[in-house]
This record gives sequence, structure tokens and C-alpha cells, in this order.
Amino acid sequence: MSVDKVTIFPCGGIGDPVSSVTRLAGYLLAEDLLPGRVQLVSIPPVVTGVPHELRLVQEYPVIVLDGCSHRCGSNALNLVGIRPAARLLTPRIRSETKHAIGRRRPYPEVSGQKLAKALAEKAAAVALGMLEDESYAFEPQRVHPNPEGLLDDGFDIERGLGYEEVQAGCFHCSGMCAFKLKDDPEMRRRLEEEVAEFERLEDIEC
Amino acid sequence: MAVRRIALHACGGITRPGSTVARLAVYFVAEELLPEKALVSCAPAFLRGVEEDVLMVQKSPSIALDGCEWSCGTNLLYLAGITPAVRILVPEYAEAQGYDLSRVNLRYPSGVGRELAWAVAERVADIGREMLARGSDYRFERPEVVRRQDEWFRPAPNMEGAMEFVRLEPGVYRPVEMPPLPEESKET
Repeated sequence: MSVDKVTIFPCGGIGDPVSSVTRLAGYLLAEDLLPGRVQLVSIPPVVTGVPHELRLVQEYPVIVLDGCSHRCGSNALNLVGIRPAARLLTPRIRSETKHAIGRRRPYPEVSGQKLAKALAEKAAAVALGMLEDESYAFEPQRVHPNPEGLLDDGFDIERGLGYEEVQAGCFHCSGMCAFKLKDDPEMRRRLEEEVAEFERLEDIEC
Repeated sequence: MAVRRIALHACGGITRPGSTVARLAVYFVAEELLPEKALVSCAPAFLRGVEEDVLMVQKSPSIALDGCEWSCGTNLLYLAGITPAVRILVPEYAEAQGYDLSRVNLRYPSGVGRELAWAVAERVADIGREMLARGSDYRFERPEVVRRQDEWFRPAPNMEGAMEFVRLEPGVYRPVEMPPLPEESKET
């Protein structure tokens, strides 16, 4: 049985410019590609226990977008005992697409915006598989404090979650239902034709 | 010890307008108003135990910027045993300054969000400058990191039951256990 909603969990960083890329990818997916079917979730309220956010990560599959080698998205989810349904690793997607992350933090440069689009497109393929594949069987989870990885950069989160790469940059977490990626040309068309790219911050008006 | 740098700790949320403002304000302070003096603390990396991010909030007073009443900026520090020197509550500050938070775009650093972020950044930078000023009598005690695992999933807004504050003005708070800010001694 497929699911009626999927959540997206960007790394949530602020210091490294790559976090602006994962954050933008989350907005692209939830607002432009699959509105109403994908819900953005922030890391901090999940860890601090804000009820609405806890409910989301328990009831729906979570796609984690890890931004860098610290893998903070995966780690934060692990801290509350929730296993990701899927994980995208930005450095791997970046290697595949050759789009540079850039240096700007408030909003990525054009290369970072293109990388965010690539991430969002891949995440959409994962989400569509979960939303539309009748054989996808997700079991709701329960949060519980899991201190492994708290203030411990040495904790091996890859091994802890048993990640297995199923496609370049796209990982399955052990113990979770297998998923299929469902590519939809409409997602790419929207990203290319309907989502503007901005050279300068001053050009953004809204 | 005297203060050489300050650590800016935005809540890290991405789904509420106050979080967008908090994040932008941190960038404006660190990149334009107090470059080299204001450090950007990354909430998830801090939780992860990335050395740079842990040392940052141990060696420098933190200014937490909370995007909503759930106070994740302050709370994440608290869960690791760190008390911020100051806490900015963006929605309350915005209202007091006459900004409509509902008009903030979550995604783009533009419009009302950008203007409000500048206002918050300038207030934060003023506090930071006074801490950093040569001859300032503001002193900072290096805290120990403590894992408060038993306090996870404590759903109380505004740090109720965990931390008490002195309200310096709408949206600007100092935890009672932290030293008074230089601006407080001027007022007295």
C-alpha cells in the first residue's frame, strides 16, 4: 500500500553554504513539485519535541537530504530514534551533476540553485515511488531518545543506519521498506521552465 | 574571561517565517556587521558534535535567535548544557518594531523578511559590540557541555520550566543566570 504523504528533512545547517542548497531543494520539492503531497520538516523542532513535527516524522516516510560529510540530517533523525525511508547525499549528487555548491549562504548562487534542482528532482522520484507504488509498505514509527551520535562526531551514522546506495546519491536505510524511484518528466519540465534562477540577491523580488 | 568573539545560534527551522528571519539576521551580523567577530553556530552540526561548532559555543557567549515560541535555538543549547547570553524572540521583536511576520517569504531573502532581518541583525550587533568592546567589563565563563537526555521531548513553549529570563525589551531576553549585559548597567 502506498502512502498519502511523504516528509522531506533537509540537513538544517546554517554555517556551510551547502545547507542553503539542501534547504532550497526542500522548498522546491514541497512547494513547486509535489505541493500537498510532500511536507517540509525542520530538524530542531523534531529534536526538541514540538508535537506537530514529531507527528509528521512518525506517521510518514522521511526523505533525508544530507548536505555534507557530517550527515547532520541523518544524525538528527537517529537521535530521536526515527529511521529515514530514504536519504540523498548531496556530495554524491554534486559529483554526478558537476554543479558547484557555491559560497553564498543567504541564497545559493546559480550553480547552487541548479544543484538544488537536481536534488529536488531526485527526491521527487523517490517521493513519487512511495506515493504511487502500491507495493510500498510503510509502517509508522515511534520517537524515542537515542543518544548515539549526540555530541559525538565519531559516531558512524552510515553504519548505524545501515545505508545502502541504490542509485547514485540515493540510499536505502536498513530495516525500512524498499522503494522504487519513479522518474516523471513533468518534474524536470517544471524545474527548468517554471523555477527562476537568480544571479544576484537584489534580483529576487517577492 | 573577556569576550573576543560571539556565537550566533539561530533556531535552524525552515518552516516558520521567524526562522527565516533569524537565519538571515545571523548572516547579516556575521558577514556584514561584525565580520570575524561573530561566528555562525550551526545547530545540527552542534548536535552532531562537530568540534568547531561545539567549541564555538563553549569559548564565546551565544546569542540565540528563536523563530517561534518553541525556542529551538535556545532549547538545543540547553539540551547540551549551554545557556545563551541573550535570547532574541523574533516574532515578539517583529511585532514591537511594527513588522508583519506573516508577509515574510520563507524561501527568499527579500522583502519584509530581509528588512526585518536587518533590524534584528542591528540589534544583535549592538549587543555584541558592547560585549566585545575594549575595556568592557562583561565577562564570560566557559560552560561545560552536559547531555540532558532526560529533557528531550519536553513540549513547553518559551523554555517554561527550564529557564527563566529578564525581559530587556519586547523580544530581547537575558537568562537570569547569565551576567547582565553592558547596556543594563548603563541603564542603572
